Amino acid sequence: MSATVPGVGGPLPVDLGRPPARGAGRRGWMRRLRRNPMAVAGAAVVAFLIFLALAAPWITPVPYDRASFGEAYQFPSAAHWLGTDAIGRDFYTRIVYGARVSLIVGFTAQAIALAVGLPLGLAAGVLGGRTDFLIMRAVDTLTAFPQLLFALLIMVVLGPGLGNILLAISVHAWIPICRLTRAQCLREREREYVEAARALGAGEVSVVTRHVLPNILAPIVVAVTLGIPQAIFTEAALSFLGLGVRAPTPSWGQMVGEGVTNIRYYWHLALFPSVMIAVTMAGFTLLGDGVRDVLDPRALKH
Amino acid sequence: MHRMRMPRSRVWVAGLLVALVVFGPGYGPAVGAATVNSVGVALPSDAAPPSKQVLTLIGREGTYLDWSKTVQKGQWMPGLMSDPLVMQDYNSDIKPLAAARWAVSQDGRTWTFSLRPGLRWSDGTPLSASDFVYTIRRMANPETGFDVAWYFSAIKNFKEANEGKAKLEDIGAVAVNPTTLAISTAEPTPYLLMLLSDLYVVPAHVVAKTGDPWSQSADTAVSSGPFKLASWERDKQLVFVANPAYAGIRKPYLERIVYKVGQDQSFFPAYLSNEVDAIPWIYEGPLGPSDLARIQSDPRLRREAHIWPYFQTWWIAFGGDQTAFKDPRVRKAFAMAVDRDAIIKSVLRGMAVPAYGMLPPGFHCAQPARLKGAQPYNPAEAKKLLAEAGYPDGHGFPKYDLDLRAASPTIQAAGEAIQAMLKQNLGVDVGVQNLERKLFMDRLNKYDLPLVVVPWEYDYADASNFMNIYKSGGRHPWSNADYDKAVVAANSTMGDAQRCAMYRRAEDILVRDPGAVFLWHPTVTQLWKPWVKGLINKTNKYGFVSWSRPSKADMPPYIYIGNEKP
Repeated sequence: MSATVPGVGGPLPVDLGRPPARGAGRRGWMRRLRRNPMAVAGAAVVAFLIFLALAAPWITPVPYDRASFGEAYQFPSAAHWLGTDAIGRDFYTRIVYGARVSLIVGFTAQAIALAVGLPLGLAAGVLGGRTDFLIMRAVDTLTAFPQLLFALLIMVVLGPGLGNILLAISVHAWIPICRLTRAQCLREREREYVEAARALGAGEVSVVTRHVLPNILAPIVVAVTLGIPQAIFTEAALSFLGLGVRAPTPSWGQMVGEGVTNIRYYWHLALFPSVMIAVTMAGFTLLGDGVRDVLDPRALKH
Repeated sequence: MHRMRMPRSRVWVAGLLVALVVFGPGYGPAVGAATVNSVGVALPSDAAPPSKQVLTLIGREGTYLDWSKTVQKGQWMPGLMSDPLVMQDYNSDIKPLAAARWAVSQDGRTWTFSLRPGLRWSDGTPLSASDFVYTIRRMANPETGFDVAWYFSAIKNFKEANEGKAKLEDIGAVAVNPTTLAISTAEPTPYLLMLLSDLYVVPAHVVAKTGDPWSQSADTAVSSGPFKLASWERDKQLVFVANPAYAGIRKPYLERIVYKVGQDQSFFPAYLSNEVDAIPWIYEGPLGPSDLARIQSDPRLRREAHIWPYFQTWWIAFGGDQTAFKDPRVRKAFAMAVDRDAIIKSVLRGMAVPAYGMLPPGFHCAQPARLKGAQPYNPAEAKKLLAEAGYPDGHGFPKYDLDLRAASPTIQAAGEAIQAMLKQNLGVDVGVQNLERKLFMDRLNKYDLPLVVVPWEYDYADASNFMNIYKSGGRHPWSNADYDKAVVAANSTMGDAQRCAMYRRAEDILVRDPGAVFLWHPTVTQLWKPWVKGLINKTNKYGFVSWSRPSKADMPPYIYIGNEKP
């Protein structure tokens, strides 16, 4: 295609080459997302869960802690869509409210992980030297403990509760973000544009925030998204072991834990929360994969 | 002329065949010799051969197999390796065991036991009265850390020695000579024999040398009981074999007992897949509501299940004067806010009867009908009382945890049920916390738990077993001088009618104060494979089949494996 630029003796024709394909570049991400059915499915699941969590009080018939002792251990029926648990609480209601715990834990833990891991990773990657050394040794020390065991230990010491769970999960969750950020920084540090920015007199902070950061954001967003199902699963595991949220707050992991002993007969008690955990994790993972595909730098090259 | 004679070889063959038919092994039993196992016990005619006389069980694992060191953390079945002075038989009646006979002094305070002659430990050392003295002193010795020392406090100076106020030598247990033991009690104690049925004697000569770990390995675990420890693989299994040196009166049919170590949830599947021959009943039952539903719906399992109301009581206990439960109105409010019938119907699936008092129905001195209306479910009255105590609608009530002791999911659900009832009826918020057993008991004994749900399972069929729990200084902080007086007096009265009247008076105080909120008495389900035979199939005088105290190993010496075992 052709265009003109002002020239000495009048407009000069310029050949701008082939126009960019439709859907390429940053602006075309929505189109690319739509073309990826798995990502769409993941996004739909996540949207559905967010809806469950937000609309819980309006889409459930009773409070989640309303015990109805005459209706214990009932199988799914018209009166109770997913049956009832050991003390007659409506299981459908508890499943819906369980979404709140899972999503709060998932999003908050990763938000903390990002808030802690990103600055530390940037500091390690860009500043290098002693800062890098200290931060990486901290990472190595924490990595020596298996994540679930460490979370268990923290929960045993601190006792059950949502705040303690977030602490227990966050303690490990920032590490992958930090490492990734640092690796990306180390790569970008050698690029010409950083050199150019420095040559033009930009200070360290400016180099980091205005030049390096926008270029490494894509993989970090992906890592944060993919870390959400990890956090949700850790919370489920802790609650399954009885070290998670406090009763009567419903948590899918805790419901599985209670239901597992009855699985040979009252199958609904273990099945539904397990399915929810699996679907949630699959949804976030697919979404994360989709986000990765969408922000893939190769798509920007056309 | 050759053909007329039979070949020589054929004659021999014919003769051999005849001999085989007449004298061959297939005719063994018919000739009359019963099969005898390795310790000389003749097996019944429908028993499997000795090599198949193996009983496989599954259960939790303990620290030591030594009930003079620890009961609550101890490994089950001490009765396999140790014969107490007396035993409780199938009807819960006292019968002689290591002691051949005994006599009580005129004042009722001294009991003299004559040991059966010839009893010995599996390493050949004779069993002596001094072993019993040693065991009693070991339990009382504060250095041992015995966790139910109060159980034997009827013995003179036992409690004082345990608290460091008296010497071990002052305890009322004396070996008059190697076969005569004299036990003195501070007050006349009519139920002493019941207590002594749980005195699992340990080998003084081994324990003094090896210390606590003596019971953990086959090399040092010498036995005076019908079995002895052949191996103990931690987290895997314990194997007991029939003790050839045993000279007592309950020689077993079984050659071996294999006790597999497992988690509660694995017991029922193990039973269903024939990996074990029985499910020994355990606290709160390894069978959950869904397993019970499964058993009810399967005719074969229904035949193998033995269900009876058990002598066990569950109740809510309160913290002491530093908690809000100092005020009896608060305790009464809690008592009237809990609907025990609803819990039984929902969480327990009907496998329990409501408890109105401490003593279970059918137990010595029990009269539950008398207490039925004493702690009724009355949420309106409960609310009023709580408001009077200064917490209208639960406002300002401290946030406590309802603590459970190593609870199964069923009991956990019961805890949540109580939590829901307190919230709905009183507006009080309690958390539900499931504590590991040792941690729970340590804190309970220190009066550190404000609100708990605890069970008590009977050890012997005498009201004192239950009523002694709430004597001052026991495991709960509630204390009432009139209660103490009544129970102590009943404990040392020899006449049964008077004793029961006193225990009932004490029970009234406990229920109406209230010192505790009584919840339920569970029914027990045991499963035994059809090829396990013997005493297991008899009905006792209470109408129960396969009645026993599974943790003590009352049953194994009297059962055998039938020949239909696959």
